[in-house]
Amino acid sequence: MFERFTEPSRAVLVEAESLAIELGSRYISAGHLLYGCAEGREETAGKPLRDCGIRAASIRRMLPRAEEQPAGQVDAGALSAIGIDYQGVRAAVEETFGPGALAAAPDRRVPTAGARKPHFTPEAKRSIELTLRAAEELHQGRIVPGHLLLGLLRLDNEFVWSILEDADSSVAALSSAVLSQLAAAA
Amino acid sequence: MSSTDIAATAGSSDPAVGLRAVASLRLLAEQLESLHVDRARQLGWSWSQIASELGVSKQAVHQKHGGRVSTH
Repeated sequence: MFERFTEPSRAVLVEAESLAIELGSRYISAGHLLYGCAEGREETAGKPLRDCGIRAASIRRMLPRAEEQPAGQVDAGALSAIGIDYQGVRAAVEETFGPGALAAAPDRRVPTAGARKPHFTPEAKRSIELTLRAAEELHQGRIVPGHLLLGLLRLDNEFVWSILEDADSSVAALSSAVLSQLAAAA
Repeated sequence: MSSTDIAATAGSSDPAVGLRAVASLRLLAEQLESLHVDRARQLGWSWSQIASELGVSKQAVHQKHGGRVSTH
């Protein structure tokens, strides 16, 4: 399905996926895809979004971040066997950061790649279907980011709506801006 | 028998103890990193300053810890 995607539209998917991973999400949602569209420097999706004041950074701020998992258990016995006094470390840390700070401190290592590669949500999949349909209707064989953005706009997705609303824009206005960029690019 | 006693009797010659110590050290280092990075941010340090002290790239430290700290 993705062989018809141009480099910039593949980049949108890559950006969406990296943001999902960074935010600790197990899924790539419509919101992550919208971020990917806004992050691109290209003309068919990035420009119409920028023109109505929608920035990647503001979309990112609206996306939920997964709660941090409490870190695993440190084995104080094993540490003492190599000469490290865990109680001593904990006491020193608590002096600066307060009681219980070390036990509550998160471990922010990213889980090994592949182990938890995020998948598209059903809505994100649906937006890709709408993307392909939009390109077909326009008789445009190659999928560019503008088609991905059209797919998101046709989705009836609340997150997309709220971003548009915050920017005082609308599905109709942004769609027509994207369509004229697509016509200019074709 | 507590894990401390086991470690004391087995000593670090037991691979299992040594390996668990390595895993614990890594975890401990990660927890200390989170605490200190968040504190440095709250004290107004830039990502570059933090990255330089940690000996990693600015991008790496920002990607790992960015967006988590409220700097008000």
